Amino acid sequence: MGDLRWWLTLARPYLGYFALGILLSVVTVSANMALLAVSGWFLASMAAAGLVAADFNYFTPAALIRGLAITRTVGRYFERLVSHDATLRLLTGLRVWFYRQVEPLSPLQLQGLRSGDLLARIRADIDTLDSVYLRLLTPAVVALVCVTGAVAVLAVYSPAVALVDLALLLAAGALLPALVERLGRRPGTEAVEIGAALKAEVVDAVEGLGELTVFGAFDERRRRVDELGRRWIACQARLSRLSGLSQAGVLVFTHLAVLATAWLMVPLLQSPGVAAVDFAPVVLLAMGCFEAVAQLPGAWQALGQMRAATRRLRAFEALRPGVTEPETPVEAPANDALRFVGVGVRHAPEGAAALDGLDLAIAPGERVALVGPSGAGKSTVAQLLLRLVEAEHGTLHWDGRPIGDYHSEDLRARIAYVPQKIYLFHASVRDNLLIGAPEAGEDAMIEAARLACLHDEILALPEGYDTLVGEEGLKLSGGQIRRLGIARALLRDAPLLILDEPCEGLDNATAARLWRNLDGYLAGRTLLLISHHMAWVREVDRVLMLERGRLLAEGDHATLARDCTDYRRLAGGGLSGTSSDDESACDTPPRPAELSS
Amino acid sequence: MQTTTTKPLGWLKQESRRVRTPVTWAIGLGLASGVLLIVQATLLAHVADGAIFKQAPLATLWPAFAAMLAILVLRGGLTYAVEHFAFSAASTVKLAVRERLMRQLQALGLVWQRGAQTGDVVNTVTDGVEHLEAYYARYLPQTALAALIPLAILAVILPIDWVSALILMVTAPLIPVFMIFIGKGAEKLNQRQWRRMGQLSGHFLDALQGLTTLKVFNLGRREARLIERLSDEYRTSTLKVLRLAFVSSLVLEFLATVSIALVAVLIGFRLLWGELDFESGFLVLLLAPEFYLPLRNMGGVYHARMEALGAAERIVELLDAPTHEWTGTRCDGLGAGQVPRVELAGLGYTYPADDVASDDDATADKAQAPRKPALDEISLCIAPGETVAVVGPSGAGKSTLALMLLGLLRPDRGAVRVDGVALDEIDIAAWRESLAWVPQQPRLFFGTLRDNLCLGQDIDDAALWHALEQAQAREFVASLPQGLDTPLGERGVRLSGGEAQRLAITRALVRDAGFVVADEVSAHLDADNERALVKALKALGKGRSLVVIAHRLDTVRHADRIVVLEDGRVREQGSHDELLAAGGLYARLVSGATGEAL
Repeated sequence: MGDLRWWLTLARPYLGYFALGILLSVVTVSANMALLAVSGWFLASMAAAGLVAADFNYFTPAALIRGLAITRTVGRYFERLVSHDATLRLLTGLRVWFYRQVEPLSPLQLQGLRSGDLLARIRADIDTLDSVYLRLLTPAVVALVCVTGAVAVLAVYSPAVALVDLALLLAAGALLPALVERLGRRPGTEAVEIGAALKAEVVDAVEGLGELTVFGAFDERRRRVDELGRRWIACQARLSRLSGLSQAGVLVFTHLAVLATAWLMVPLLQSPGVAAVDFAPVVLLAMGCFEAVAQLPGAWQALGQMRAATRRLRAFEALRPGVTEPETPVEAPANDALRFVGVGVRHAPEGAAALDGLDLAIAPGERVALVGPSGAGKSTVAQLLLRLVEAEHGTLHWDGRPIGDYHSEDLRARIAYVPQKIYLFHASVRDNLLIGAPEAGEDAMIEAARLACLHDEILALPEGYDTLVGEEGLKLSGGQIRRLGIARALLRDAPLLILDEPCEGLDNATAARLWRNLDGYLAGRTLLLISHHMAWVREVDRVLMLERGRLLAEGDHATLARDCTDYRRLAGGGLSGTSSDDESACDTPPRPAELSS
Repeated sequence: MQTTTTKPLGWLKQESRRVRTPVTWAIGLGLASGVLLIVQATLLAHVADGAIFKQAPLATLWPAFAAMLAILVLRGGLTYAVEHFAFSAASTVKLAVRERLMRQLQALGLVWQRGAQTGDVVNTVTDGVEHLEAYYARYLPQTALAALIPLAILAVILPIDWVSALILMVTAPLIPVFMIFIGKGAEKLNQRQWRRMGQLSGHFLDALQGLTTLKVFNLGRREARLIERLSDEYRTSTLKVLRLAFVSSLVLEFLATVSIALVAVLIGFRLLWGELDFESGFLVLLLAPEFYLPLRNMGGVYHARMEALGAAERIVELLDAPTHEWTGTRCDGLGAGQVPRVELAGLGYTYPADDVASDDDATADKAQAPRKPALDEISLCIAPGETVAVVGPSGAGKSTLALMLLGLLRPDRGAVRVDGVALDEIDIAAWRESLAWVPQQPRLFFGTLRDNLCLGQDIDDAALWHALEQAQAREFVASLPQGLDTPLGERGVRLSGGEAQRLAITRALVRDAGFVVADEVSAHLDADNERALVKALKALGKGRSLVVIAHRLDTVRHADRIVVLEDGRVREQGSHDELLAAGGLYARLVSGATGEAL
């Protein structure tokens, strides 16, 4: 029931619609029961009157029959409209709720999700939850109200009939559904899980098509999809058998009630006080009230699936966002003086430390490069500043205050970030650029693209800025994606620029052109460059070398190249393979260290 | 029928052939249940007449009660059986169609895959196929029953009361007429709806995958609003479809309910006038709702059909997409361990208009019309055991060349020849057995590291560790807490580009293929990683033909031969020193390089 309460809390904004839908449903079902009973009574009375050639007021029942017929039909139409509208509204709410649940999680927590699985979660699971209202809640309330009414009416004629019918109604509406639900719980849960696994397998097959083909492994993959499909159908078969059972059960109970009612009524007609014509409406009412419980078995069966879906969706509630916002955030920082004091970060509770007692300081307006072997913790520094991860030890000061005092959005507003892996949305180039600053004008956008050396290439695309960049941006080259990511960040016009491997996929000429553009752009801004591209690293004010999450050395490029063997070794990959010009830079005595502070 | 619906509809019908038996059973048993229902109603009318007008005691009525009880049990069994056959018909189709779709994905190949939206395709293969169930399990049996059961009931009513029979007969045909009339419009809307749902789920996947990007740009809240807006638009448009569907069922129900009321009232008067006996009148009243029930159900069933039709459209679209299948059958001399001689003769290729070349090969002007060939007049020969490095500026056609060698693309002009036999004549599976591929960004599949290395082959751990050693990956794999059992893929451990590529090299090594194509990772690697990669590639080249799309000078230096591509053509080839001395494009590339990208 905890699940149901959770669901009701989410549904609160739409409860008015739900109540209206249920009310309309009750009206419809009652009208139908009344229609049957009144028709039966009308026929029997007319026949009885005909036999004795007596007079009979047929206007009222005839009008009642017509009125009930119309109420039933029109009520049903509005009931469906209202309840579907309410359900779809709730689904929108659920989607947004899910997104908001997932959004504050750290990239690492999200890693646990496969894209196919995510898709299954947010869409199929949420859609499964529409059963709660349409197939569970409405039928339950309608059954409760209508059965109570019908049994009360029957009791007027015969308490025995009322009792027997109530028992059979309970069997059809509660006992059978409970049994079916119990039996359907396992296959229902399994069906949802297998469906998600199948989806994930197909995602792998589609995205890994090339490799699977070359390695002759696609057939194997296909067999797995087939196998999962078969298992899915096996689950559904169990559910279908249950559904067959419950359909048959409802049919048997309904007609059993008719039989029992007739059987009990026959001797009753002999007794005084009971009109013989009452036989018809009582029997037909007994038949009619089963319409009120007809939907219950299916509803209970959906409960198993709904529970599994709810569990999966709610699993995210348990994940605590790594970064919590302060209750009363201080005003946004005025400058970008950054100071790390003994900062330690661990991405997983038992994992190795990504940063381990890092001390460093960056002055506003400074251009700093972070270098170090992979796994040294360079990207973690950026993630800390972006408030994507939280430090386990130590403090990080921004403009003299601990970073946790600020609202993270105020900090992110100051940052233009180019991540190592740039994500392109399935949208136009323009939309992808405007991610950086949604309100930016056309001129600003073009200027940013120019700065990133991308404008001309965008114009050469089939539809220029309106060209759709396909799923994951596959239609652009790696270098173009990189520069799009850079342009997007530059458009943001933020005082702190963080570039994580901005030169990857760029040829040297382009990288050089880009640096020249950045040089001007950076006036008055702070730069944190994470890169191995020595041509860029050489140009910054200060190089910070990290290793295993600590600061190993710092200084300008020339000093480090002279004094630090590890730095030379690190830069080696970049230097040894280059033209003789570069190689000599390493061998010749270093230039005198420039003044830097 | 509109042209947009005839095809999916024809396809749905065609598929129904394979499930004729279970569908027939479902219909037959459903009809039997309907006939029993008539008998049951007759008995009940008899009992009612006896009880009300003849004061008959239970002692005389009990045989009728006993018969009704027996019928009741029988009908319960029939209901269960109908559900069973309907389900089994649908599952047969679902399994077969999914299987065919998966085969089709394989046949469609890489060029198609790059232009396709994964979310959309996945949706079609999974949920889309599920939606077919409604057509086979519900629409087919129920339409047949909707015709048969009313006819059976009419046959009973006609001799009893021709007036009621006339009312039923006149109103019944109106129901399908209205249904078709209203359904036509709804059908088109519904197909659009299905498409819209695909777009919506595509957008969700996109937003969730790009979540961190949205977050760092402070767009999280905006995206939530966008999702809300899109979902809401989806709701409004769905309601539009539903409103039509509901109006159609409103009309149908109205027709049915008002007709029943009319029948009841008319029978009432004939009873009053003494023109009809109560037993017959009551029977007609009992049967009239049952006459309309299957027809009324058609509203819901028709809706199910529309849903199936919407899904079928996407399925047919996929199945009808042009495929690139290889039909060759020769496999002389090919096989694992064999090192073939590969020749490219006058190879040319132009990407189809809506597609652009792969990852690092596409350049802006590629996408421009008129389209330039990605490869043009490429003639090359790769001797058994040779290591050939392919270099060139981005957009030169390097990756396209790799796909061509791998048989993932088919040349427009010229041919790839293996030991003198054109690839077109070769059994492509046999050629692929002697192939291995090291892509630039290997796809790490969901599963363990071992699964990713074996890719379905059966390879023992010792061999895996040996290959890992050669690929310079032993150390980092051994350092993973779960070693070979480490889960990879989107749910598993993240690997750096260099590590992933070394795993891909291991994968190629364990395959023991004679011909390997490697697309060196172009991203910068630190010195240790870089040295390891170069060494691993060297190990890969031993005893095999290796074509490596090179981005590193170190790799190039170790090659037997360097081929320089530009604009889809071979500009020059030779050894490192020869090419340097020639002072051409290669020399320029080298002088501009910092060792990261060539």
